[in-house]
Amino acid sequence: MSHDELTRRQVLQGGAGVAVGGAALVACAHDGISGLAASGPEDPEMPDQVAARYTPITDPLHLTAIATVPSNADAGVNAIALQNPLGLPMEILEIKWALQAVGVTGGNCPGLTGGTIACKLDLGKIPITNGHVPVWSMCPGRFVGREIALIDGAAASDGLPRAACEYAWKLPRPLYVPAGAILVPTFHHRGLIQDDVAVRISYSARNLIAGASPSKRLAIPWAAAFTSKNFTVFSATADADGSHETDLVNPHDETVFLQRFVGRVGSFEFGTTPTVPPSVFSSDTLDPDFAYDLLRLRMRSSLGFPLVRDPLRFNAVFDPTTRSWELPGTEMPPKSYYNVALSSGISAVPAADQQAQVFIGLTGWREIERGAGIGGAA
Amino acid sequence: MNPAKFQFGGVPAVFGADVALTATNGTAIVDTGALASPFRAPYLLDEIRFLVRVNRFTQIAWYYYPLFGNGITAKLQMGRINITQDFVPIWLFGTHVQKLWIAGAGVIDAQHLYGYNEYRWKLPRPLFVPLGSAITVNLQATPFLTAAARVSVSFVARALPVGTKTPPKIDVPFVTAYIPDLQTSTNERTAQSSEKDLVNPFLVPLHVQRFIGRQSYNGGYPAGLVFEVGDDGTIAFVGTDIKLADSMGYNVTRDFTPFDSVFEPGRRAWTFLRQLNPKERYNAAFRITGTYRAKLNPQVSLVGFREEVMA
Repeated sequence: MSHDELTRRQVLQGGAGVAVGGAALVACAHDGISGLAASGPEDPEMPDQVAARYTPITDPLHLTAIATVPSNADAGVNAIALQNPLGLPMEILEIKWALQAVGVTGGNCPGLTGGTIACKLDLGKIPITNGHVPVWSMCPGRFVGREIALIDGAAASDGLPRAACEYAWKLPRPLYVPAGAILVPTFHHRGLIQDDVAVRISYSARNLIAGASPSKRLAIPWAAAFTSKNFTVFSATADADGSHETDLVNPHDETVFLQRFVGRVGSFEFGTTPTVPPSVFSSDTLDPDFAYDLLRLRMRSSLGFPLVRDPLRFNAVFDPTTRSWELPGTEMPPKSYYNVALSSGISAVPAADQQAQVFIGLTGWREIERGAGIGGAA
Repeated sequence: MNPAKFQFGGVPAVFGADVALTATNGTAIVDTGALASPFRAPYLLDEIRFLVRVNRFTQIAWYYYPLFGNGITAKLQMGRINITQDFVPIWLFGTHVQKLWIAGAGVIDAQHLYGYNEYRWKLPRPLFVPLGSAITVNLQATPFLTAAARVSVSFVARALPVGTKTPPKIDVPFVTAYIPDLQTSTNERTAQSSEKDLVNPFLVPLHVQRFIGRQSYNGGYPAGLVFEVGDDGTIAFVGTDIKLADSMGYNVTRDFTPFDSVFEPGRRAWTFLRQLNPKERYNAAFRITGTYRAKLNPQVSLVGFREEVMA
């Protein structure tokens, strides 16, 4: 059965029907690196996206691991929990994080966001992230406001509902993970709050059939980020900051195909005395006047291209709801980087108790040859 | 033009400019130079954004702010090529993104309170803008805009390689709308679009992407209350029905149907793909009844794209 003879339904049901699965696998293996994660109409406003291409797929698989990260410290997870229990190769389609402050009454720590925890991902010796990247710098926003979910707290000692900040990165291309291999996360608590943070990381994946031969070229996701210094939100003086060549960078020997930029502003509101912990660490959109008004941004590439020529308002560059600037297939040459220049304006009513930090992330993928550290033994 | 060819790639760029708009029938033209690509190359326009800031002088509740979406209209052109049919309210370009946001008290210039909102239009197809061409954006306020506004218009684009030839045909987005007269009567009423409203005015087919339907509530108690229906409204809005038919007489909605049943309340849109032949149109009829009939002002738009021959 050739690929052309397979219907989408047959391909999608590859794992359920043995008669289809094997043929689908063989036929679709020639389809290169694209997959459902790449082709799904992530934004329903764009119904005319390029049609789906198929990859060998079987049953869905979900893997989860938890770590408690002390403030200003690193932590890892029990990596075995993130290994395919069937001993099969798999493809990871989406990575999700849920963050919850530990030891806070009711679990509703107002200062907790995706900027609190940074995550580093490695598949063996292959880096997926440029060091530790703030979790929310990898993920677009889904709605205005803090991206929290209430969790039933009936089982908690105080009986109060728990709030968890949740973020998801739908990978631009599925990540092939050979049998026995593990995509290992390590976490860094950036110290923005004093509470420990429980991090739950989840992989939405799909099994591949034993012995499946991956494509000759494998897609490896890539994420890098720039985190600015703290700006005083309502300042009597103008201020500025900029990224370095090691922040929004493609350090590889291959071209990175960009998925999107993610731009967020986290704001701190300090208490009246230094002993009072931050009372608010909000999502960007809860303080619109900074990102809409006072903060401006310019951006250029290391090749000299003016991506943002004029200093535009932050929210004019990054959509305030999705926090993203979608980059469908833009190529980022090897060893190149983007440079961001931030400037903040003057407020007529200065106040020192509110500060903000700018987070800009970059996601995409690159291609490597099978056997270059991955997939050779599959 | 092959859509797949231009869906991916290019050097990303965002460019735009601010413009001030006075209340009630003010007009402004966005700096065309600032809306020109920074590259000496053609580019693809993926998205147009309108960020609006409106200032008020006193601490008031959010629903006292003027409604931006139908308070500001825009007319977009690329040379001879129309992107909109006359002036279209900026909330009728794209689906709903967010509601109004209010900044803190006088934190930016001590005298004003600011309300913010954004309207984003992701084009149904990327628009190929040839080298040397510019898109002009004319803005005009309506009576709904009762305070001065600052509008930030930005283009999200991808520059193409230098020397990229202009295709013989390009896909050009298009928006046209039906805006009934501002209602002041307390009577139950109806309104009927004309053949010039939800129409394909071109000599080529119009590929329809969606209808967008929004309505505002204005006036009444408390005095000055103005907001978009669907934005935290505490009043149950039952009263606006819509009936749609095409120019061949076929019913699109068979009967007068509640507004929110036709346009999904979250996105304020009804997305579908349909080819509207040259000069074909849709007819929209509103029937506005119920307790709040004197305060409701529904609007509907048609969004799509057509092919234009590039000389």
